[in-house]
Amino acid sequence: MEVYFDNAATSYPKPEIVHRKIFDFMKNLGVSAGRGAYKKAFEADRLVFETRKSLAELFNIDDLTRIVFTHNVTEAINLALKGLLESGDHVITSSLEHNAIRRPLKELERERGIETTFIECDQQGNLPLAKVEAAIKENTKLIACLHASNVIGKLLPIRELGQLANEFNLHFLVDTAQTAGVYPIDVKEMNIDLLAFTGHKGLLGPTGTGGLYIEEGIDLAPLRTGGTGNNAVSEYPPADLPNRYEAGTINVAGIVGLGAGVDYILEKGVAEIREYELELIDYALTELAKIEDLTIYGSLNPEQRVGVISFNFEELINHHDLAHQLDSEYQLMVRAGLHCSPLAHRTVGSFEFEGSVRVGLSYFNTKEEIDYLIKALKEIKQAL
Amino acid sequence: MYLQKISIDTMQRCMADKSKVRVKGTLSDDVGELLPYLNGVFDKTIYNHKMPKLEIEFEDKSHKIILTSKEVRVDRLSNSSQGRQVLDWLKEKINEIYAQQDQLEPDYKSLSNLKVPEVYKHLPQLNCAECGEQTCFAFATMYVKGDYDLQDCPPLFTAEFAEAKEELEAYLQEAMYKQS
Repeated sequence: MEVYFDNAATSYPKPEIVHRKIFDFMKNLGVSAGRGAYKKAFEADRLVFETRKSLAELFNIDDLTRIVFTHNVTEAINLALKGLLESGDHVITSSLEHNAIRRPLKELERERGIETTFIECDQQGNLPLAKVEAAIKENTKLIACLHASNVIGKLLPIRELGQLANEFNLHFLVDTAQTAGVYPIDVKEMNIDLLAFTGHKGLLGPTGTGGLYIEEGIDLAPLRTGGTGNNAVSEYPPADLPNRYEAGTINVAGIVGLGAGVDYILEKGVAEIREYELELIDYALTELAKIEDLTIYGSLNPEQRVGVISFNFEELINHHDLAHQLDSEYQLMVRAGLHCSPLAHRTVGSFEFEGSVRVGLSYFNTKEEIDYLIKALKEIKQAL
Repeated sequence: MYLQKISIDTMQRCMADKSKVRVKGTLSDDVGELLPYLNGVFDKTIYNHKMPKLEIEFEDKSHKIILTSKEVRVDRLSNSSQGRQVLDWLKEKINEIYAQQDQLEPDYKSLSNLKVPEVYKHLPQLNCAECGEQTCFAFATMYVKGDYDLQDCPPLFTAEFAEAKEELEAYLQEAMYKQS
């Protein structure tokens, strides 16, 4: 049996409708959106609009023109950080961050002279809110963090951070790479004014899709400029969204597929998806915890997690070798290494082992597949 | 749902502001009979019952929607996404109004009921051209087409023409509401 457990990197499989919509678009329409003066171009434009509309429904966004498409969540985060931060600005973030937030911040520190504070989480990934509040200074402009860790699946207290940002009049950027589509997100309730998402994980779309929601009133400097298909005479990018941030031909085929993925989620309901995943997470954690000498990083409480579980047989076997063995002998696909998050591995105690094996669950995984993983791990352990 | 779809047929630059665009679209279903209801629901409309044609200002934005039985035009847009957003809103509103039709009062208040000579009769007739037209008769003609407000005629708002203004307003009130 072949089992895919790397959904935290990219979800697979996708719902049938996602392949079909992309295929239909490529075969029967296939043109650029918003660039031509013919019916097919308007139809392509409409399909892009429909995806924006579905995303607006999913995240409870009023004005869908404030959702701009990017190639992935990393580009969305780069647009938010580089478009917003200026010399002397201070940013607060966490010690669980992926390099998608850490690297642009460090780059801006070096290139533009911004200031950053990384709040230390405990080994379970708990972020001390009091320390976040204490770190707020006169020049603090932004709180930027991930919604859930891509190493231990830990959910950060987004609601509380949003309240804090609101209270101190700070911007709040949330990286929803591990949560969009699998955990309820409401930009209004959570006070999120910059929401970065990727299309190819929980949203069930293809790679090369993602985006940023920018609340009305925030003007970011564009990350790239060029043709936008409107107001071509002007030497500068247009002021209005989404075109301001979508220079160049957008990934229409990908966005069509993303729309199909989001519609699938809206039809199922995020609550139902979450409920099923919770069952899987709970089952996986319980069964993994029974394996002797296996260290599971982070909290064992499934409610505090999304479907991302990291573990090691620490001194007994290197994570790369373990992952290789799972693949070559059992066709179990997992991720090994630092998962682009050295900070998180330092926080949870796996950095000294150069990372961990990571299982990324999805709505399409089953308990039987988890049983198969447990069996494989037990057999490998026994043979050590 | 009555109105299934509004599809965009063309997108062009606006005549007045070339940094803006306008879209023209086709409605999948005839909304001619709903226009008086829309005229009743929205503020800031200009309705022509004979054509029929309804102009609507889009919520909070500076876009203008011109709706006929089967066609629609939206002016002063920044990009096509805005156009889709306006058309999407319009489609939803039309379907809402269709669903509540029984509880709504149609509003036949229509510019098309007005007679140009009657409007002209009550104007200051100074041919001062402050409105942008060369003559008061031209203003009356364009007013009936919906191109002007009374405020565009400053002399009408002076003490000298207070009586004329009152008579004109009375005429507008009476004529526009008359069902044709």
